[in-house]
Amino acid sequence: MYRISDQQIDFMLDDIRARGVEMESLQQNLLDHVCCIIEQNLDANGDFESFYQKTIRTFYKDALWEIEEETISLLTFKNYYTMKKVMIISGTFSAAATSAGIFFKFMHWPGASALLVLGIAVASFLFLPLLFTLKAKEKTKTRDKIIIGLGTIAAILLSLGILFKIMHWPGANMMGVLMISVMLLLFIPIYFFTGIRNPETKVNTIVFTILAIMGCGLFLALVNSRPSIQIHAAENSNQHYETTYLYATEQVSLNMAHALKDTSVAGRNLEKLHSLCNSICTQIEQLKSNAVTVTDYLDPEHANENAPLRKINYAALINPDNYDLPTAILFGGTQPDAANIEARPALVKLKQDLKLLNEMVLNTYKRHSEVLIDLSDKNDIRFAHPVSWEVTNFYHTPLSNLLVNFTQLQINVRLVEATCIH
Amino acid sequence: MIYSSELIKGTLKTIVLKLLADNKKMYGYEITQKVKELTFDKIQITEGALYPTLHALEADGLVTTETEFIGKRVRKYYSLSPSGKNKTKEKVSELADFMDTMKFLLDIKPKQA
Repeated sequence: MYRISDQQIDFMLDDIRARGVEMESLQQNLLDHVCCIIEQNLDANGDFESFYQKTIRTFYKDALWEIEEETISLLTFKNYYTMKKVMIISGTFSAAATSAGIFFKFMHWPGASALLVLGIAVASFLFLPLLFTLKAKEKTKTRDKIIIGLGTIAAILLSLGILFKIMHWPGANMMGVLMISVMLLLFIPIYFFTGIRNPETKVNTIVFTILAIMGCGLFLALVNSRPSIQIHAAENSNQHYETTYLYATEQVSLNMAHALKDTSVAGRNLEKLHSLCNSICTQIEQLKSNAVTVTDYLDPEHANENAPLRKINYAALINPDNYDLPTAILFGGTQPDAANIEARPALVKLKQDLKLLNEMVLNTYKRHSEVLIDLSDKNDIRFAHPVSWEVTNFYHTPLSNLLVNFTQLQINVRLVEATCIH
Repeated sequence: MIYSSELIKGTLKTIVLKLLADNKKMYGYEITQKVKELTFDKIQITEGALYPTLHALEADGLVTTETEFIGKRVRKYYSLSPSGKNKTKEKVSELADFMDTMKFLLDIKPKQA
């Protein structure tokens, strides 16, 4: 029987470590095991080192760390059923919560957002990662694991992107674009060229690839389109507001004609007020007309402050959702500094005249401040801080909505004017 | 004849549990030697199969371990936990039942004495 020295023990332990076995209890098991074999089978004066090498070689096929790998896979396999169960439960839960959230949202019931956030968060951070872990375990090729990983990343980005979009949180579009890039540039090429080589998966691969590209296209359209329902609603209200404005103008002018027969000081003040209001409404009409012209032609060069007013046909706006060109003529284009967006002279003049009107109504006619045109700064969902009246109403506003805002302003001016006649 | 590792793989847990049930506490090398001895060298458990199984049994709570220092090295003794004892009975009867089924399925006649 061979007696093993302490140095030899250290040597063997180091060797086992060097062969890639990292779990301490496994190191000790293997060390004890190899020691037992040596003690049992090696003569007292035998060659320790060559016997050790020969013995340890019988422990494995290719490398000693296979034993550790097998141990780890057995240990994780133990969790396999738990993971599968959690995956199915979380998947069912998130599907139910998300559908309920969407339904609540449609019905305007409280709790819609909470359900959506919960459902999508569970899907993104529990269901999809578990699905990846379990699916990746089934595959042996690294290539297949990479495909599943990329697919999971794209799916997580997609669900989070949609969540952020619904909740109006910043970063939604960035996630959407990132997801599209991962999907189109990485996942689909690798998936397609791997799957198409195998006759068994060929058809499925082609069908899924087409569906995925279609899905990406639809998602891109969703990310980049402005809310069309709002624009559609604005198109309908435009005609309605226009009619109201025309009616208000007519009524005010009739009453004004009557009131202006008075030639006293009050009458002369009223005349001043009336001509100011007329001027304001004409300025607005000019801005509306120009906005429609530039968007129709998609060319800011067509803006002309002295161009003849055109009769706007609200049912036939060519680009009702365009907001670049109205912004270009009102603000000189998108401004780099969101904190200090400056309007161009026409809009500045309009604001000055509206201020003048407010002062006149307040000072000459002593009307309550509630009837005044509201020109104050407002909180705006698009900015982190309150922004000026002109930015709230006209900056980056699609043509349809812009026209509604302008016509409403005209109506308000006529209403303010009307309160001063009596 | 030495049995193929595929045959051993499915029954290794049962073998280890049963040995521990009969021998109170054992260490890895002892288990391999005991199996070799009892089966007249027909079943030789490899280190690569034994230790992962022992770790899995430990993680499942079926066996408990105690360590003993032998000079500079550590020896890990395995013994059954209470739930391991129940599991052993279950596993052994399952395997016995399986063997009967296999006999029937493969139409193996009992050897004539």
